[in-house]
Amino acid sequence: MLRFLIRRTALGAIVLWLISMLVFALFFIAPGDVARTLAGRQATPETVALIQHRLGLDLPIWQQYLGFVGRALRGDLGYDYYHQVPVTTVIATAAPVTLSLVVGAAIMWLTLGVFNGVMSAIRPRSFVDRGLTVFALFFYSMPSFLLGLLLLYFLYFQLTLAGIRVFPPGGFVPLSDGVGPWAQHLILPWLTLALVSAAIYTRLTRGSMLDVLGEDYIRTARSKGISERRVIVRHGLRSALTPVVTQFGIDVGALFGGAVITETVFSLPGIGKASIDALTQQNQPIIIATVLLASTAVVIANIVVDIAYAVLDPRVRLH
Amino acid sequence: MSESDGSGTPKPVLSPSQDTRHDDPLLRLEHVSKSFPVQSSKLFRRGHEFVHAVDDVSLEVRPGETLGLVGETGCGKSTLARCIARLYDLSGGSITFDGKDISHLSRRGMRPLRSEIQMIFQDPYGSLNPRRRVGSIIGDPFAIHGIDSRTERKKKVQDLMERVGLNPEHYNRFPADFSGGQRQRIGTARALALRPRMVICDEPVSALDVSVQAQIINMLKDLQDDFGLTYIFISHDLSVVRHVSDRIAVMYLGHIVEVAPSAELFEKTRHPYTRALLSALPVADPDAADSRERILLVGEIPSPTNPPSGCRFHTRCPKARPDCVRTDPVLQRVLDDGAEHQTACLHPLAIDEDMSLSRPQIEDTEIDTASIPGQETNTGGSQ
Amino acid sequence: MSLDPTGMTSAAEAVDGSGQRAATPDGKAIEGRSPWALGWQRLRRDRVAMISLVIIGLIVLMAIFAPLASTLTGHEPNEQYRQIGLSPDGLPLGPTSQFWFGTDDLGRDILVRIAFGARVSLLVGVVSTGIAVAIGVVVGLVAGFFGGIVDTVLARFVDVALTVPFLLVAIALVSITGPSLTITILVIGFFSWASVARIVRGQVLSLREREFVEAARSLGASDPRIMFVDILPNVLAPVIVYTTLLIPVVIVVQAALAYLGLGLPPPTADWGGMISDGQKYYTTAWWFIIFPGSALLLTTLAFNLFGDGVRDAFDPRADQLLK
Repeated sequence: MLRFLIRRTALGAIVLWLISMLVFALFFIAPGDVARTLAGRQATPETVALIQHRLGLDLPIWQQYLGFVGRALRGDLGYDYYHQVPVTTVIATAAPVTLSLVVGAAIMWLTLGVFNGVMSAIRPRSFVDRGLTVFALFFYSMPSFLLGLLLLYFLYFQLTLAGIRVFPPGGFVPLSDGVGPWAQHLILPWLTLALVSAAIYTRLTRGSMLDVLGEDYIRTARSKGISERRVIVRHGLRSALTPVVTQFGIDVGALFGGAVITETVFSLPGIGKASIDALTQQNQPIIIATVLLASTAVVIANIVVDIAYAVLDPRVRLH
Repeated sequence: MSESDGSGTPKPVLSPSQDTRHDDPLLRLEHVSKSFPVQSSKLFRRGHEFVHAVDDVSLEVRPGETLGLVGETGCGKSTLARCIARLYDLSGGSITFDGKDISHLSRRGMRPLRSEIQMIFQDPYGSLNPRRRVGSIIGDPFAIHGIDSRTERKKKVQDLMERVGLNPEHYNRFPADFSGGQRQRIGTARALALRPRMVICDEPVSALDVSVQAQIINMLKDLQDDFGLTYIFISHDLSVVRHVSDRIAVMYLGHIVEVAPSAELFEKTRHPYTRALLSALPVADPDAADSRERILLVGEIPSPTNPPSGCRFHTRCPKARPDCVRTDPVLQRVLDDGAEHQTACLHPLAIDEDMSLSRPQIEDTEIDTASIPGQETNTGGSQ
Repeated sequence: MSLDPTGMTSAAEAVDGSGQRAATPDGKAIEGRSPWALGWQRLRRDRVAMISLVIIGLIVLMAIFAPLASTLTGHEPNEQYRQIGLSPDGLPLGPTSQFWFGTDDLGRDILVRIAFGARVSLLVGVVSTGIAVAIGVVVGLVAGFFGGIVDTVLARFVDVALTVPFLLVAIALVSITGPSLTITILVIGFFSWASVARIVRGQVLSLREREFVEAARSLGASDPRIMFVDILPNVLAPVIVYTTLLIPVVIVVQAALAYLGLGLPPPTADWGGMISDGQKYYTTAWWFIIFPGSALLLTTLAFNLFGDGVRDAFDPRADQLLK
C-alpha cells in the first residue's frame, strides 16, 4: 500500500514538474520582455529593473527555471506588481471564496445526482426514469454561464420585481460574517454549478447502478428474501458508487481551476475571477500562480481518488 | 528454394510420385528452449522467476509428412509452435528450416520465410479480424508482400476459397457471417495463400463441434496432397492426431517424452505418460473398454515455473523409482525399438505390461498408493 | 457491436455438410453486411436520434446560408443600425417586425448574428474535435501497441493534458497572444485529445493480445500495418461514438471561452460573445441573452441526443468508456 502511495505521488510530481516547465516556457521564453510583462502596463522603469534583478533574467535559461521552481516550492509565488502585494496574499484571499463555492456545490450535486440516478435505475423506463433522463439531458447540455444568467434573471430579477428579495445578484460574503448571508450569496452560484454536474452524475449513477443491479449477486440477495430497499442500499449502492465517488474526487479537484465561469457570472472574487481579472490587467504572476495551484489541486485530488479506489477495491492494490 | 521468393511465383506442387519422405528434414529443432519471465509482485524477486514453457526440445520434421504433437493443456505445445513460426524469440537452442538457421533472424530477416512457414490458429472466432471482410483477410498475405494487383488478388483469393470448400461469392462477407468450421476454412485459405511448404496447425479443430472436426481434418488432408504440404499438427486429443499423423511426438511440461511413428506409438507404447493418455481414449466396443486397463492420471500438471526434479513426470508416474527423482531421462532409443521410436524414460514399459498394477516407489508422488491392488509394494508412505 | 455470432453460427452449422450457407434463391452473392451498415440501420430506427440529426442539419444549413439571412432581412451581421435598431435612449430594441430577434446594444440584428454565429460554433466544434480525435487516436494506438517505454512516456503527456486546468491555461495563452479563432481551435483541440487517447489505448491493449494480431504477425505484417489495418478498424466504433459526443462539449467550451472574453475579437458574431455582451442588459433586454442562449442550447441538445443515439446504435458497451 505504501509502495502504491509512493508511486502515485512520484507520478504526480512528474506531472507537476512537466506543467511547471510548460508554464515557464510560456511566460519566460516566449518572445517579449519578460520583466516588462511581469511588471504590467503601469510599471515604472524602476519596477522593471527590480524585477529583472530579482529574477536574474541575465542568467542562463536553466538557472532561471531552477530559480522559478525553487521559489515556487518555498511558497514564494511571485509578486503582484499591479496590486503591490505578494501573490500569495492574493491567493489567500481568493481561495476561501472558491472553496466555499466548490464545496457547497459539490455536496449539492453529489446528493442530487446520486439520488436521481438511483431513482432512475431502480425503475428503469418508468415515468420517473424518463423524466429524470430528460432533466439530466437538458441540464447536461446547458452551458453553465447560460444557466447562471437564467437563474439570475428568473430567481433574482423577476422575483425581486415581484417583491421577493431572496437572492442577491452576486458578490461574496465571508463565512465570518454569518452563515446566513454567506449562504444566501452562494445559493445561486451553487445551483449553477450543481445543476449541470447533477445531470452528469445522474447519468453516471444510473448507468453504474443499472450495471450493478444486473449482477448475479444482487439476484441472489433478492432471492434470499432481503427487502428490496436493503438490497439496493446495502448491496447495490456500495459497488455502484465506486466509479461515481472516484469521478467525484477528480471533478472536485478540477473545479478549483474550472469555477472561473461561475465566479465571473456572479462576481465572486475567487481564484478563477482573479485569473480573469489578471488577464485584463496584464498581470502575469497571478495567472502563473493560478495555473500551478489548480494543477496541484488536480494532482492531489487524483492521488486521493486513487487511494480511495484502492481502499474500496482491493483488486487495484495488487497492480 | 530461393529465399527471396516473396514475389509469389507459383511454386511447383510436388507430384505424388516425388516421394520426398526420406530426404533431409525440412525442419530441425535442436535443444530448443523458451522461458518467460514471471511478473512477480514481490519487489525483489522480480526477474528471477521463469516459466519454462519449452525445455530442451529436439525434433525433426521431414518434407511431406505430418508430425503430430500431443500433450495436456499447459505442456508447451502452443509455445513450441510459435517458436517454430518465430513469433517468439528462442531462449536457447536452434531451429533450422530447409538447411537455414532461422533461430536468430530478425523480423525483417524472417519476412521472406513467412511465405514458407504458416500457421492455422486454434480459435476460429479470435483468429480472424471481425472488422475485415473475408476476401481482405485471405488476401492479406498477398497485400503484405506486395504481390499482384487488386484484381489478380481477388481471383487468387476466390480460387483459394473454392479449394477450402467455401463459396467464392462470399468474398465480401464478414467473419461473423460464418460458422466455426467455415472460419477455420478461411484461416486455412489464408495460411495457404503464399503456398507455404510447412503449415503448423495449432489445435485447428479443438474449438469445433465433433461433427465438423472430421470435415476440417479431411480438408486438411486433401490439401496436403494437392499442395505438397508438410504439417505439424498440434492437439490435446490423441484420437484426432492418430488419424492424421505419420509420426507423433508426446509432450509433457516442456519436454518431449516420446516420439514414434503413429502405429508404433499405439501398439508399442513405451512411456507411462503416453500409456496413460491412450488409456483415456474412448473405445467403441464396451467389452473391450471394460477389459482394458484403466490408468487414471492423478493430480494436475505441475507448475512450469517450478518443475519437478529429475524426470518431470515422476510425481504422477505409477512406475516412479528413486532414480527418477534424480535423473532427467534423455530422449533416445530404448529396449529394442527402431531408430524412429525414441522415449525419455528410465523405466520404459514393455509391450503388454499392465501399468495399472504398478506402484510408485518414491515419496514425492501424488498417487495414493493405498488404493492400488498390490503387486509391488512401495517403500514409503504416499503423499 | 457484439462479436458473438451465436445465433447465426449454430443455425449455420445445422446446414449442409460442407458448412456453407445456402445462397439466395436466385444464386446471387449475398453482400456481407458490415458492422457499420448494421449500426446505421439501428440508428435509423431511433426516432429521437433522427430528429436530432435533422435539427443538426438545419443548423448546418443556417450556418452555410447565413448570408441568406442577411439578404432576407436586409441587415448585415456587423452593421450597426443605430437609427432604426436602437430605442431613443440608445437601448436595444425587442423583437419587432423589422428585427425578428431584436437588436443588441449596438443596434445589430440579433437574428442575423445568430445565423453567422452558428458558423463559428460549428467550425470550432468540428475542427477542434477533428484535431483532438486525430491526435488522440494516433497517440492511443502507438502507446497501446508498443507498450513499455513508449507507453510510459506518452502516458505522462496524457496525464499532463488531463491535469492542466484548461480554462486557466487558456487564459494564460490568450494573455500572451491575444484572442483569435486559431488559438481557440488549437487550445480546445490540444486539451481534448487526452481522453480520446486514453480510451483508444485501453482498447488497443486488449486488442493486441487477440489471435488475429498474432496471425497478422505470422504473415509478416509490419507494425504500422497491424496498427492501422488490423487494430484501428476495431477501435473506430467507440471513437466515433466519443467524437459525436465530444462536438457538443467543444461547442459549449468555445462559447464559454467567448463569454470570458477569450474568444474571437469583436465584432465577429459569436454566440458566447453575444451572451457575454448581453449580460449587462439582462434586466432590460431579455432577448439579448435568450435568443443566442437558445440557439446554443438547442445545438448542444441536438448533438447530445444524436450522440446518445449513435452510442446506442454502434457500441452499447461504450457506457463504461465515456466519462
